[in-house]
Amino acid sequence: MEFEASEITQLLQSYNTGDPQALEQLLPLIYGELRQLAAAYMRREASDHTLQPTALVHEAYFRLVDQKGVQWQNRSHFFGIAAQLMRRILIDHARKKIAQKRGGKDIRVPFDESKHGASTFSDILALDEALKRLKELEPRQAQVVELRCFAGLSIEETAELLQTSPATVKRDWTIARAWLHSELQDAINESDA
Amino acid sequence: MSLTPEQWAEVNAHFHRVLELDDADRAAYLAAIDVPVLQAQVERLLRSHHSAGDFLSAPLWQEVLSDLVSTAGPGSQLGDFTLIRSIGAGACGAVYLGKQHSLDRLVAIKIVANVGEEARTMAHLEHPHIVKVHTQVIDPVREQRWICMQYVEGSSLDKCIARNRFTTTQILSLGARLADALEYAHQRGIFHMDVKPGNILLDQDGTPYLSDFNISFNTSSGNPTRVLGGTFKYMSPEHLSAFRNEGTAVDHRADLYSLALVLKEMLLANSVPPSVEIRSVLDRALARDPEERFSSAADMSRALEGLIELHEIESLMPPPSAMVQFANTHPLFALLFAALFPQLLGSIVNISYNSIRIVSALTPAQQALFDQLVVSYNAIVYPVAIAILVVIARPLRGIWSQPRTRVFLGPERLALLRAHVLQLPRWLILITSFGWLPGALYFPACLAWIAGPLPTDVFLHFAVSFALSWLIALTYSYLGTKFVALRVLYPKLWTGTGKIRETAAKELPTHWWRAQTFFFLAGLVPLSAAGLVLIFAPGAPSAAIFQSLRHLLLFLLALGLIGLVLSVRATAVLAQTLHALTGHHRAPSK
Repeated sequence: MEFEASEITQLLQSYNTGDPQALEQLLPLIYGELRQLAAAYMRREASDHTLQPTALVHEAYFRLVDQKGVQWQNRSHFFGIAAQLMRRILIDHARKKIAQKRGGKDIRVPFDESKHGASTFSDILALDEALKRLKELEPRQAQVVELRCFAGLSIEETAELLQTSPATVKRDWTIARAWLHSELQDAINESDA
Repeated sequence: MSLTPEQWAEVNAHFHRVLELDDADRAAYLAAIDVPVLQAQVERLLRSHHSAGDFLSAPLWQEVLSDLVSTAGPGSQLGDFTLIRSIGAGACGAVYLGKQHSLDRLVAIKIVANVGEEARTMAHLEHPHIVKVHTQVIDPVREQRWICMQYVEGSSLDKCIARNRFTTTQILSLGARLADALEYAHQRGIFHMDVKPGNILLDQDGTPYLSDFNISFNTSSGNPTRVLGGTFKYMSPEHLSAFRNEGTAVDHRADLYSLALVLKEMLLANSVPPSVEIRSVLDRALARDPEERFSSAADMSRALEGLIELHEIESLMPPPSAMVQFANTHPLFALLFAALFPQLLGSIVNISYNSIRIVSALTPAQQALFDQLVVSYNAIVYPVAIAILVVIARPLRGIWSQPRTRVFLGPERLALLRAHVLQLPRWLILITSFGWLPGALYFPACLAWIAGPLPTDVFLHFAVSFALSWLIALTYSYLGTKFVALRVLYPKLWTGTGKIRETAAKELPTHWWRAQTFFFLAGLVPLSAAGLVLIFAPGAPSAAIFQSLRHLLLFLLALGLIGLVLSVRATAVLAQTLHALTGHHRAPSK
């Protein structure tokens, strides 16, 4: 991926300066890098599968950014993008998997019964939709969810990033989670009906 | 149930408030919320909060990571190879651009399921126009096979056809190159069986590469009629019926059919319609019965190369004048005209001279006999001459018929025809001599024998008269047929032959020199004849005879001048034609 590092840096910078298209162009480039890292991680964590997505994100981004480094305005920007990208990748994957399963009913594993948050792919899409709605209600809460779910940040890390208090973040997290859960239950109930 | 942000903020406040209360106070608080919508929401959230359990307790990344690892895509690595990006999808697998680390080079990697024999089939094939297979790596975990092959930086022909126009020469050249590649494979017992634009790659220079022998087979590995797959659009008739289990045999000629269909498609996309020769070659390759096609890819390649050469040669030929264009569409007529019209010219001279020098010296009885002899002589000689001409022209009959009824003549047959054509002028020498020379003896002998004694100088004048007529008829018929043979007939007899210039150089030189020598005679002979007429002219002619004499001399002088002009033009045209055919000189500047 060496020869693409500068391209990625370019795109990251244009995303910084507000170009939304840059995100689209970044995704395919990042896939490759993530694959390699994922493979390496899986090999290392083969025994217990406890992956640290935060570290993965860190590593991915530091590898993707070229030697000269990108002038990040602040760390929150960095993680904000990371979380968005992870979310995008996950959604794209879910869509692809659903398309592949034409006609087959996927097995439903409701959120509250699974340990690892493993779920069906259509649940993931429903979650994404719900998150978009949440963003319209309170953007900060949506961001908290994004950072915690997709970039795997803790309450404290999130608070530091968003420059608020951990208590605020905790409250945001609590209500957002409750709301998303109920939204998802409604979605499940609708499609089961 | 859609809230506004302001409502949501209120719900937030209520929610967090309620959580701080204990159960007893909660119910009261909830009841106290005066807006029903908000109350419902808060209750809903509370229920959800309590039943959420492990919801979102772990990041959702897990799914994606294991998924990323389990499918091969850009970034995946297997052994010495890493995938970079997708560059296409074939019928049974995706194709990626990849990198081979040990050699630090770009390769194309096709990922297929771990069945089948494709890589082994392709591995023996090393040809400049076949995509080389470097190696294959097996991934037992994902049950995949990575086939690593030559990366051709360009795109497949189907995309190129949509984007560009190809010139005729480019298309023919592409066809010849691919036919060479097919010959290479066929010689090793490997048939492709899926030749189509999607399986032909073109690099930046336009070099074609045949790829994707994925459903091909080894003649050693199985019964050809069991071949499955392939693209229907380009499939040969016998392949299609084998596909439908009709038990027909399929062999290497199916590949030739498919290739010809690809070329035809490309040619029809051109604005210039393909020439008759090109259509004739392609029609042969597209024959329904494999027996009627080219018997090998090498033959087809040579035929295509021949077409390219022909195309080049034709662009160097002199532009056809109206006369030549007519002759192109009516070649036999042109031949007969070139052979017979000079005889008439000879007849004019003959009649004229006879009336000047001979008739006046004959008795009336002899004159009457003379007229009868003329009729009888011509009544024999002309039909016989025409009959001989028709016989020698017959072999050339089929060449210019409609393409539908045209028979494809192989290179050997064409070579025979060309030799025949080059001999035509010689035949004219024979025919003309046969037609004229006997007359020099026949007439005086008959007259003397039947109608009484003839003065001796009449014998001389008969000899002179017939000699002159013979020379004029001979010169013009020889040159006329020579011109038609070289300019009109000979260049048409090359369809599907290779190495045109080399062969023409062998067949032509002596003929050319002879032609050059003779053409100036077109001017010289009539002028010399005029001289001879003057030498043998009567000393004191009557007024009528003097008129005839004047006319004859004028006729011969005019013929001489016209002949001179024509011969200059004809020599130039023939020179350019023959040089185009033999490639001896560079093209004339435009």
